[in-house]
Amino acid sequence: MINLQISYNWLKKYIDINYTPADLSEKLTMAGLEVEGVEYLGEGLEDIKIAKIEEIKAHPDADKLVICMVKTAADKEPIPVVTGAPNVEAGQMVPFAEVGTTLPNGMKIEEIELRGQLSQGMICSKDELGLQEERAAGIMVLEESAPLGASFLKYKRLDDYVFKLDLTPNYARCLGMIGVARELKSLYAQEKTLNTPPISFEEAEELGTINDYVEVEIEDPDLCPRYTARLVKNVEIKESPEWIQRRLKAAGIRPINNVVDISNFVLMEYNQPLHTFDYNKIKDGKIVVRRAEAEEKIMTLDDEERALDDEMLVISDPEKAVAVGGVMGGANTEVTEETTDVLIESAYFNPVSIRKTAKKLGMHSDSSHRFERGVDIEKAVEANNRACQMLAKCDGAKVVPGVIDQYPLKYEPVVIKLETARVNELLGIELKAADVRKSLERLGFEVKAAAADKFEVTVPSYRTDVEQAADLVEEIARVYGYNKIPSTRPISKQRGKRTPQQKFEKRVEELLQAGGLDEVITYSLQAKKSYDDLNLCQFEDYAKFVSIKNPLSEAFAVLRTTLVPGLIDVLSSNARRQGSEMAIFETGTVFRNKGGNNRPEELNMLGGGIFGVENDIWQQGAPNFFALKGVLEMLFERIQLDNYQFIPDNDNRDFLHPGRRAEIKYNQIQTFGFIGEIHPELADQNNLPQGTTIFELDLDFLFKVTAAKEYSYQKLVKYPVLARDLAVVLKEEIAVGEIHQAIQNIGGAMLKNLELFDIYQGDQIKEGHKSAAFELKFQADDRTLTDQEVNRRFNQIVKHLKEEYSAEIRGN
Amino acid sequence: MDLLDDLKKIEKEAEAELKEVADLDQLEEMRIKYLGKKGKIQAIFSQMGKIEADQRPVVGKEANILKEKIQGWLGEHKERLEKEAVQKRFEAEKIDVTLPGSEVEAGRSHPLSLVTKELEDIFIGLGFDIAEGPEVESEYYNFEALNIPAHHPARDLQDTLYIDDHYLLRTHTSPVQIRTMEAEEPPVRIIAPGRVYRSDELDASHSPIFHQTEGLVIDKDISFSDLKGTIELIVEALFGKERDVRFRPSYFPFTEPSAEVDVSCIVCGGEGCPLCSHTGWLEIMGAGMVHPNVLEMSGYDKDVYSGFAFGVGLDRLVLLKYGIDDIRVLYENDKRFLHQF
Ligand SMILES: [Zn+2]
Repeated sequence: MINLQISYNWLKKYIDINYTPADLSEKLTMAGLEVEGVEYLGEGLEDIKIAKIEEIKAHPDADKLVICMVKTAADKEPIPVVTGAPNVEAGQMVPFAEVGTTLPNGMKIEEIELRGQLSQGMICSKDELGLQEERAAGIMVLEESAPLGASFLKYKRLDDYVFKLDLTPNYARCLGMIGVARELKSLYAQEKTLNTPPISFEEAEELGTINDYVEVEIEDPDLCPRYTARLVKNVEIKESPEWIQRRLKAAGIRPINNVVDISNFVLMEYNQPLHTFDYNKIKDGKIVVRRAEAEEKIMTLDDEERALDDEMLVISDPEKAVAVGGVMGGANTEVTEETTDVLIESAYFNPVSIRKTAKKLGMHSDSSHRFERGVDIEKAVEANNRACQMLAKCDGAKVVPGVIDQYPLKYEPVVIKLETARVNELLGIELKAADVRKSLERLGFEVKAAAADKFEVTVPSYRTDVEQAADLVEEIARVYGYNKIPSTRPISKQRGKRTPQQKFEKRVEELLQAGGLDEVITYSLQAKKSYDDLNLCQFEDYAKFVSIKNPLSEAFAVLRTTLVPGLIDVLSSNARRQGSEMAIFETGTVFRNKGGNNRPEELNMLGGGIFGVENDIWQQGAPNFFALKGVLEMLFERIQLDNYQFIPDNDNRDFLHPGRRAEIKYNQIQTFGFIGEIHPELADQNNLPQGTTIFELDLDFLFKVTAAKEYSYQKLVKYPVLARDLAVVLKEEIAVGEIHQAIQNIGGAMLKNLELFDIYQGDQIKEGHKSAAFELKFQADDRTLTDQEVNRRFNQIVKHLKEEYSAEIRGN
Repeated sequence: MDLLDDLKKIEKEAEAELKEVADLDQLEEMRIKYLGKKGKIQAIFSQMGKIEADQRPVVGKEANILKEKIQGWLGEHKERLEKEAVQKRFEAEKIDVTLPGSEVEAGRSHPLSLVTKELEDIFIGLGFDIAEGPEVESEYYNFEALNIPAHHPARDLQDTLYIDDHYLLRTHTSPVQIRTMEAEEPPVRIIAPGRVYRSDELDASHSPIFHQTEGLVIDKDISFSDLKGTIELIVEALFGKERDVRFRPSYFPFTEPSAEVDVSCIVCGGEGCPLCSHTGWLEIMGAGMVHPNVLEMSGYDKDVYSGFAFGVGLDRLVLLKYGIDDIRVLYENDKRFLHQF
């Protein structure tokens, strides 16, 4: 964020430096004044010359065009230039672009014929030279004294660089030219002098004293510890001299009139905001610095009516507020063309109060920016005098003798105790006491030795940022040079580690990747609309939104309550880009509103989704579902989650296909997630392939129930395995999972492994039925099982299935 | 009958027949034909009773010699045929090894995760723990405890998204510093990666949601030089040995002295290019010595302990490391993008 623009030429007025622009840029940056950019003001004007219009001839074939005979150098013949500019006159000195020149706007000047007449160059207007934004009515006319053939940019002093600074709040002292110059001197050019402007001007003794005209009363010294005022009479309001305008333009400030420009000039020079009033509009010449009354209103300079409150400071006369102190002036006392007598205010306002006021009113000005950061209270009078000096140079202006200086809360310098040893400890260097002293003194601190290696350091008034020893340590480090401080590493007395939950999450992520799922990261701020569009709010937990009070836009208005919208967005945008398959997961925080003033709940969730799987293993037309379920089963197995069930989800989650959704439960009761196909209609609306399947799990819960699991060695069983196949014909509606569970229950411990390997409907299976084939592997840990034992158990299973499920056994 | 002649005939016959034997089955047939129980040699032995007694040993001897001879021939031939059979099998089973292997789709890590994990591992190696904190924070943890009082201009450095008067979305991972200090006695050595939020419009270089990691070390005798050494090590681990690192004065309310850390540009190496705005340097993190006010507010004795802290924008690190020019790409999760990591 650029908050200060400084011109190199202007800066040189205060310190005689001769760095290259690149060098200065580097020096400023390394001093902590970050340079965001450097602009050459003469950019593109290098070839513009000062020329003279010798003679103007009529164009034989065009009424609106004329032929100017332009002389570009004393020893050259005039050349013809055809122009339509209305303000050309013979004898004018003008900026001229010869054939071959490129203008700042990119226009290349070529020899052309205009209505049959040769034109060999261009007389430029201000906008063509990039000197003003809006279109100029005619060509730019220079002073008669402008030297023929000379470089235009040198003549106009555009041979200057502007440094755009991003100053952090602790560099308040550098929000003015003198401050920047002082900083450069302290750090890089101690031998140079800081050239502050010599201030001397004549006071008009015949006018009496300021006290005859102005009275200032500060009602609230906490908000305004110092207020100074001076009066300049007989001021003619007009344009400022060219040099002031040039300086302000380089600083990015638009010139207005001499009074406003001078106050801005002093602001830029001293970092002291001034305000100028039309003295004759201030009732009885009396200024009261007070808090605004409740519901008081003022029309500010930007023609907005502002409602004030009693926390805001106003500058007022006996009848009305005339300015919002330190923030913006009032329209009622504005300096206008009719103004003759100007009251100059140079004050110090409480930074916090200014900030609050500026914020409440939404008015951030160059003044409020500086007052918020703290200006040099001790310089208030000097800055005021500087303005008077400059105004005094305007024809006829008379400075009323004397200054009003109400200073109820006198500045007390900050004194800080500092020990050399502590400085060295904190920086890791070995300075001597004398080095510490010298470093601080060159920055303007007053250093007194209190005891051996102990100092009392007095902070100069312009260093509003320095409050304690640590601030001095930074100053010493800046002088020493950050990059000269050696590099060491602290000795670690501990072993670094992840917490068990962090390790768990990392493992889960690795397992899902092994399962073929790509990790995605989506925005945790979302549009509430996407929840409505996806029908998610029917599910109670998903409707517990935490809303942003000041959202950037609707798209980032609520915190996500589930990973689902983010996942669907990723899947559908990839599908739209013609991705034929995709498998993803995300781990992330979701937020649920807990009502009232309670902190929202933050939960770690794991979600994922898949489309494009083709291998339909169970011939159910849901390959994506079973592919994703397989990944989850693998995950559960690897994190040793036992006792989980996929149970058809009959009532919840309307965003899923009603026949293809399951809750994932722990111990039959506790739901910790779901899996299901996106509802076919929603899939269509979101450009998702039919069958796209998603899941979401409570990762915190998974961690909690598996955390206690120890990964331990299970003895390898050396006894043989006896395998049996079992094919049963069941009523269609019986869930295979149920049969699986029943077989396992009867099979008991000796049924080591039970796997479904086929499911079939159709020929040879009667209507409304299906066949399911299992492989059963029997094994005992301590002996070889006999065929009889296994057959007995197998028959028990068969009997149970026949009795309980009316199952028929195939091939039996 | 002259059995010796017969033997000679048999020998010639076998010799000729052997040449015609092309596989192991034919070879077996031939063995049976000559050497089997009803074979031609056995037939000679069966006729021995019919010849003179004195001839018998001669014929017997010759018959045995021929038997062994044929056995030898068969054995040799069998070996040859077996070799040929193996050879044939190899030829028949020859595959095109240039055909592609089966597709194995291992899932990828998001580049943000990759860089975060890489950083975590570097810091774990340096003795740091990984700490976490909530994304919805209170004013106190996000600002006040970090020496950013209400109405301080430093609040302008971060545009904040608010939930209500109490809570906001953390604008940096720095609150984890405070939470850690409140929960633990020094020494402290943590990094705290996580999501942060700012009221910044989404464009190529800004995102309202992004990631940072905070680092914090507090102990006795921790100095600015320790901060420098630690950060230089991280830069080397992330960007390689050939990168220069520079520290320049900066400002963070919660550190003093504060520094901005630059690395020499990864594209131009310091010559100047568009990526580094022709400065030759890329800003990668903010750092500094923990401000005494922060230590005090968290209950640490500022005269006994000191520490350093730093904050790195992880998204920016990812963009720099992989040469990505638009932060939005990280959150689009285009499969073609994800599959590059
Ligand atoms: Zn570069």
